[in-house]
Amino acid sequence: MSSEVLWEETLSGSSTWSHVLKRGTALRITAGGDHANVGAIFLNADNPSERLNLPDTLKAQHIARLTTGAVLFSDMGRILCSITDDTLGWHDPLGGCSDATLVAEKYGALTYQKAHNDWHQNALDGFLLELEKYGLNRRDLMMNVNFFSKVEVQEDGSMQFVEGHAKDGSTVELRAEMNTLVILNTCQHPMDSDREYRQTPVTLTLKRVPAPGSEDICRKFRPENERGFLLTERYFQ
Amino acid sequence: MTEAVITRSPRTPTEAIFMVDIEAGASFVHEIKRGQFVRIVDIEGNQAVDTLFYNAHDYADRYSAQDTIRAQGNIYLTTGTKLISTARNVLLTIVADTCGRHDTLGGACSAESNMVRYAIEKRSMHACRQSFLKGAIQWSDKTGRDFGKRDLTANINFFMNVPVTTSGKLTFEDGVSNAGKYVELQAETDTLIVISNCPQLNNPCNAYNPTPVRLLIWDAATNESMDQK
Repeated sequence: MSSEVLWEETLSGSSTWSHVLKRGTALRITAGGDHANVGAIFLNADNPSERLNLPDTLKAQHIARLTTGAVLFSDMGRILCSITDDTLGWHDPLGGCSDATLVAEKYGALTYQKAHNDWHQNALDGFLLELEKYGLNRRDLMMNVNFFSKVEVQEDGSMQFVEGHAKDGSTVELRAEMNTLVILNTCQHPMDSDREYRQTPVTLTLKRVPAPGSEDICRKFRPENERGFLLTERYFQ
Repeated sequence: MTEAVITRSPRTPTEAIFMVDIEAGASFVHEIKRGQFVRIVDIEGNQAVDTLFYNAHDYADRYSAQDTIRAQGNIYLTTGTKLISTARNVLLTIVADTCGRHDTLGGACSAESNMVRYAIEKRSMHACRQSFLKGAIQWSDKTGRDFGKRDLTANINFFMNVPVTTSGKLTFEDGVSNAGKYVELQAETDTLIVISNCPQLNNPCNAYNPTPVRLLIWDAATNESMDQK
């Protein structure tokens, strides 16, 4: 797939970032070390009452993991982003995000005065602060994705975080099918059993990409996806 | 599938302070006071009861599927499950369950998701998020509180069976419920409950036959008298 890199930046570990990813562009995220985790939420930037609906995403595609070919459905039956490429085969939609209490209990409190930008941040506060910048708030919070992480579910329903899943250099690529407000943060996965507070950076690469063709891997992933693309295309007609 | 654990409630319908039957396709909104018990009965069997929960004093603090399943380390809800909110408060605890497990990942059907899942021309069919919205709008009109689409988030599907496999597949299986099965929750804080009794006609798990459910409420005192017996 031909594409043109528009810009690239590094997002340090344990921090939050947002961008309106325009339709026709793609965001490539590259892990800057082992233990990377990128929590993410997605909204329609032109009408943020439309946002990622993970239950719809999972049940439409009969999946409990995200990988190449899968799309992220909004609550309006449209596609916010497609996963056009990934090296891991499994990104977690189940584990949710860390909060201040969880981080303090797990890693201890570390103040800004003592640690400066290495102080202990958490994903929930990151999402809420970033939402606020767009006039949004706690009402707009939704279930989040955790890229680079894997949570397995056993037959009895029990959940296990899989250690060592993300490797330095792992990548995932998200193609925007709408003008999508993406809020990311690089805090550790809330189920990560590693007791060390790690700050793993990621590289963010923004590219201009062609519109998905009739044989696009995400369009062909499921008949449901084909209908999701149709509804998204109608939205822009 | 592992054997479901069945836990019966000591409370009897004659002691309930409130009882209502919710027709298939109908919505229901009600405030449950802290300490009260609320029971949902699957009257005819294999009906999905799509339910949202909110802190009654702060609707932005609402049931969180991910925080709930992570807190208990299991994706299926049953007796003992604490329903955790987005602000990490415990809204309710499941205290009795004769079905054995309930789904929190399958979400609620909508006109839009029916178009994606089944066919574009399914838009006009009634769906849970239409019921949620109708309930939210009526509740907002009645109470003057701002409550609408932004507040429709993760829901529980009581009596529904949506297994996840170790290879990361999500499957829809026949219901595990039967006529008369129930789930009962105790409110740990004043809680707003919003129900859509699912009207889904595209999915075989209810045999294409949506049916009514019954909701009963007991006061906290009922539990104390039971404990003393």
